Amino acid sequence: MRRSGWLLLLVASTSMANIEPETIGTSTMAKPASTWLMVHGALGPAYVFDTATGDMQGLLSLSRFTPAVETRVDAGELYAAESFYSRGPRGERTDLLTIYDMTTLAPVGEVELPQKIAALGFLQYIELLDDQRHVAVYNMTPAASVSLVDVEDREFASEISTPGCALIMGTANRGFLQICGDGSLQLIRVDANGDESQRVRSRKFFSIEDDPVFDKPVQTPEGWLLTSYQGQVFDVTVDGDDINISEPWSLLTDDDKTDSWSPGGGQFIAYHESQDLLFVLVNADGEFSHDSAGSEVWIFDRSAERRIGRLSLEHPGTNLFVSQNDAPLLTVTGDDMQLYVFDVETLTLVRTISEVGWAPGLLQGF
Amino acid sequence: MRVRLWLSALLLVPAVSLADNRATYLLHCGGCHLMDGSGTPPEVPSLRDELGRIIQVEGGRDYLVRVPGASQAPVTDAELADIINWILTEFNADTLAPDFGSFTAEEVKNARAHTLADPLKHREALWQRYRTHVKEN
Amino acid sequence: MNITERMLGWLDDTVAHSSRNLARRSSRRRFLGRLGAVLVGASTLPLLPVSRANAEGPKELGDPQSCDYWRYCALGGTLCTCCGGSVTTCPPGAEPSPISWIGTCHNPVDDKDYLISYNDCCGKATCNRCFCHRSERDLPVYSPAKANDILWCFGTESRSYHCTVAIVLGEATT
Repeated sequence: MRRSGWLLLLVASTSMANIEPETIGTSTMAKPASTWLMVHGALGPAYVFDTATGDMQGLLSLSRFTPAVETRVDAGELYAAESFYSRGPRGERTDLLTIYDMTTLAPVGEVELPQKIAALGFLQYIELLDDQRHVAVYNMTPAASVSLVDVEDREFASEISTPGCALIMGTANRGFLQICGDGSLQLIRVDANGDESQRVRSRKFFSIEDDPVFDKPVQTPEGWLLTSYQGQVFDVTVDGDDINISEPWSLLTDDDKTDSWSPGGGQFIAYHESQDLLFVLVNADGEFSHDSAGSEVWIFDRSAERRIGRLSLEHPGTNLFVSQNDAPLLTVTGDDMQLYVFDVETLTLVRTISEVGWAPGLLQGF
Repeated sequence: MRVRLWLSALLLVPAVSLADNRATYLLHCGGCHLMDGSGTPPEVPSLRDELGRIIQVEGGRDYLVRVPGASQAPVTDAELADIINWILTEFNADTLAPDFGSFTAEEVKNARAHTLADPLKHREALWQRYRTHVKEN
Repeated sequence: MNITERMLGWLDDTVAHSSRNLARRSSRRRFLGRLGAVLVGASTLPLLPVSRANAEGPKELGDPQSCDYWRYCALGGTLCTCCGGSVTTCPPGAEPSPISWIGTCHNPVDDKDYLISYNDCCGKATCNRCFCHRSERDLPVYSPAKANDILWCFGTESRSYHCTVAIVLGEATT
């Protein structure tokens, strides 16, 4: 550069404002909005995104055996059932219920658990009971049981043996439902100490050989909703000691069945509470396709028991999530590992979120 | 493909080959209880050696049918009776009483109708009786 | 289509494929070795009836590194055949789980159903090559003996899932 150029630069730099030297800090996560979701990676890390903007909010670093967590937004805590080995994939095992702070996404406490936590990719393998105090964790050794932890006192409470039944669906009065392999549901209640106080079985309402219900229940304001391989929908409510299971309605018309449509995918069903809408991934791949990706999302008016919309997917979907706000956004994990966010009212694609972890799994709101 | 086992109502011994029963056992039980029935205690109980004595105790026969792994298996009552009989004769021959009466489809049907909601509690009580029985005999 | 026609149709395809892929995969090489006896007489096959009873041909057909392989009809996981193991062996250093889930698959070669034990190989990071998720007769997790969505590393030192094998236990009798 010519001398005159250097002079100009020197004059210019002394008369313009400098960028002040900085020190490093750490962001904290804002309080999650209804459009936020966690994308649980297959080997642990959960990516937090706001589907309304596509921006990543933070990452929850979890054990490789933790496909889902429980949240308690008012207390600003997350609860994770984690399993670790001292040497990475091997070594001495430790099972924990870890308490995470929701603003820092850092652990603030842990409670050791029996080394039995089930290695299952299902949301309902862990549940915060309605007393907002006891977290229940499903175990498999392969024998089935449930560990109860008091997350206020941060103490292990009890292990309840539950052979033949799986999953944990919270109900009122410190209870939870499970689905059992004989075609029934089981209700277990615990007392204030987390010890079993009651156990009740429902009538048998499905045939495991003819049309099993999926192990992917959906929570409703009244209770829980179950769907079967052939598209039957059951509403489950608990009234005192009674487990009430409604007569089913069908997601599929006779024509649908002729065309081989049936629900399929991983997390194939989502529910929007205030508009009472069900979103279901479906495919036309025929028998044994209940795990196959869905080529369409069908939208149902739950009280009318009727399909009101169909969304064809360019990328077959595996998992669904719908935000609970008034202008809901439906998120679909495509077979290309990207998230496709649709505006529900217009069923149009509003954004794509990419780089959501190398093996995105369950989608979970706060 | 389902295993179709034909049980004659008049005979106590099932009129099917041992090979069929073994295949059914493998398909519905062998994955956890292993090919030789030894399981992986304490998580998966062994089906060997002791069952012959257990069924001599009050509630023992009933328990073998009602335990969820057995009662919830996707098999008919007749097939379940055959599998249980096979497990008893194949893995527990030494402890079977000389007057051992085979399980029938009827017995299985009646036991299966009563869901065992708390198998662990039931098992603890049964084991008390079993230990007493062993001591006395 | 009877078994003769099926075998002949397959042979036409495979002879074309095998020469291209021979160098690539040892599994195909092993497989073709077995096929050698049949190939020698290939040109005369259309004239001779192939009897099942005295067939010297292969007992199984297909690529054990492909999700379509007949044994994998209910396999959910990663194939050990793509990870240094085989259809019946875990890759080096991975521990076979004694507990498994057992399904039934149909072998088109002899038209029989076989009991297949899907044992997980455990104790190492997940191999994650050749991921398959086929669900024949798979049931939800409340029927654990028939659920392939469960991680089946039970009775092992570590539950870290590496890959899955498919062992034939015997015929599923009808």
